Amino acid sequence: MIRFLLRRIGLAVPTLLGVSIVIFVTIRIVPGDPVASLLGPTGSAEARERLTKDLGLDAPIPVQYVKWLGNVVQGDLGRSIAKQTDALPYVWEAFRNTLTLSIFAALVAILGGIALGVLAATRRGRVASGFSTAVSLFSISAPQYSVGLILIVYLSAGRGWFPSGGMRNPTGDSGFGDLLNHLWLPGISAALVPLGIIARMVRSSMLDALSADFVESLRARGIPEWKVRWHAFHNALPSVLTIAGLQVGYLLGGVIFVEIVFSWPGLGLVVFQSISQRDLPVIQAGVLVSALAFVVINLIVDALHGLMDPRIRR
Amino acid sequence: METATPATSSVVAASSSPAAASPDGRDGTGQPTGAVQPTLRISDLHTVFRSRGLTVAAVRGVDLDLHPGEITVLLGESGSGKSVTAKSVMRLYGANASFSGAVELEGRDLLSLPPKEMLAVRGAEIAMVPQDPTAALDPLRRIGAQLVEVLRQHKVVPNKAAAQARALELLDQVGIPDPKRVYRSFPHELSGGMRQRAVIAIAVSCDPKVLIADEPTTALDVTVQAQILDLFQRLIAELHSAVLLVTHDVGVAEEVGDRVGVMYAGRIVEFGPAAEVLNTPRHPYTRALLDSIPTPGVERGRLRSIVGQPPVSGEIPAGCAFGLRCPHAFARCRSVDATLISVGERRQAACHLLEEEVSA
Repeated sequence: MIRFLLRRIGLAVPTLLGVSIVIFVTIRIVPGDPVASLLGPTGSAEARERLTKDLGLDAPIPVQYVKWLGNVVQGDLGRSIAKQTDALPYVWEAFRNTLTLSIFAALVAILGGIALGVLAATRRGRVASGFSTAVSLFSISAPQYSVGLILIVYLSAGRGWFPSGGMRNPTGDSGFGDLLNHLWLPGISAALVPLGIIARMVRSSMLDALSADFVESLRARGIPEWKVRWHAFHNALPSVLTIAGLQVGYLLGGVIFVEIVFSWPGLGLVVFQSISQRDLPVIQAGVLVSALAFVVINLIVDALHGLMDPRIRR
Repeated sequence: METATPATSSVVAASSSPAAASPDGRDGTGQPTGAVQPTLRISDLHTVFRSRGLTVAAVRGVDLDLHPGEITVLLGESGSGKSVTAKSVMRLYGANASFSGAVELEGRDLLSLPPKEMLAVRGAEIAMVPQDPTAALDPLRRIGAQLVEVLRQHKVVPNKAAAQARALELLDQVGIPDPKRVYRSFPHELSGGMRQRAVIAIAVSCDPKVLIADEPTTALDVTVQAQILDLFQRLIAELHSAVLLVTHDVGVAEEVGDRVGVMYAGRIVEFGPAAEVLNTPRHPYTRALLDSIPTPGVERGRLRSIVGQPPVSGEIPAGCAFGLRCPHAFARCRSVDATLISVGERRQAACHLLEEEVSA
């Protein structure tokens, strides 16, 4: 098991390197110039040249990359061009906010998805199954931004039950209750798609497991139906886990639409703003952090997978 | 249940066959009827599946008695209804299956038992050894846990520690050389033969009165097959269970069977002591079945396959179900169904040709 994990960790390093190259090159290939956006249209040619040199943007891309990577390895992700602060603390705080939102959304998505999926698989052909299929289909198809806006209109602006945006109450207490209050609407908006996907996965792998031969053998041994279903659920879990891990990974990358609609100060919002400002170091740092989060989530999933299914422990 | 056979048992299905009047349709037991009460008595069992408006009669009137310590074999091609008969006994089918007739375990009719009581019968009083041991075990649970689960479920042991001790004992009993290791193993860590031994250990864990083995050796290597069959016979001698063994393998039937019933299209067409039925078959189908088996070292020219296909369960022809493929069929076979009649001591067959012989 430990060797299995070490190998996975070893595999994560080249993955991250690859990701960093792709981000670095992509950002520099797409049109747009940080110098121009910093100086504005009135900047002189001389000022432009000096700033370009200051920012190290005059060197060839491979040279810039190696230099950047050298700094990254030492924990320096550069300075924000727009804010003139270190990029890492800025991105890190945004990531923590995204993490809060993601954990909430992941809990809703995983618990809800499992409940709906198990319902659909075990009450086949009945009302409950139709209901759960409809809910999961709806949640996959409904765009996050429209769901978010609808929630704001009906539950926030109309009734004032929930705040319409932000993460904490700027005035007054901002304890856990306040955070939770702010979490509901963006959390549910962000949870819908993964919830639907997880529900469908749970349903299909649960049905697979229930049609396996060992289920009939369990019944032939006089094991009561609820225990038989528990065996089937256990067998369905590994594939559900893989899908759920992927979905949580996406959430951690920042749920851009949700964060914009609810002005949630997360990674998605920060990267989105940095792109419009051509703030290259922040974009790079943001994408790198979310890639790292994705890799870590996958490591956790692999470890859990190994715990759940002895056949893949090698 | 002294001497008389139940009224339902003698005539397999509605038929106008005169010779079917033979009163002891059950005399294939090999013992004088009534001397020993059978552990399990299947009477006129019908199993019908319905799905999407389609009705399939998979078992069409089977009578069978199982006696303690005896292996009764159901032999037939796939689709003959032998496995369905076995699983019907345990009521292992969902809502789309319906049963009629009776399956009596020591006088208690299982077909009319409430589901909850049936649950207590399965695994404890009637246990099953399934076809493929690899598929029969939960791949994510250790062998020990799966044994303990059954022992605890049927409360044959007072507590968990006793269950563990008993599980190790059972693994040893089925000839597993290192019970402690196997107890901790996952199914994928064992060989096919070891897995089948573990599955057998689970099946016999609660000292079942009836053991149903559905093609127990089909998924195994020939050499392992022989070991498993030996083990099987040894255990049955020890436990004194009544065994219903379902197989398509004539060799297996000959090797371990005490009595054999040959099934075709949902019915038993020939029944009697295994050696007699397999050496001197009376029914044309049994003969055809035996003729289609290759024998090593014996030069017989081309193997004779049976012409045509077995009828699809939904579309059984009028008259004898084997009529269309039978080389000896005559007019009567196409219009009147044949029923089991006594054809000599302890033997039965369902064929119009034999009816004439008997009445002549």
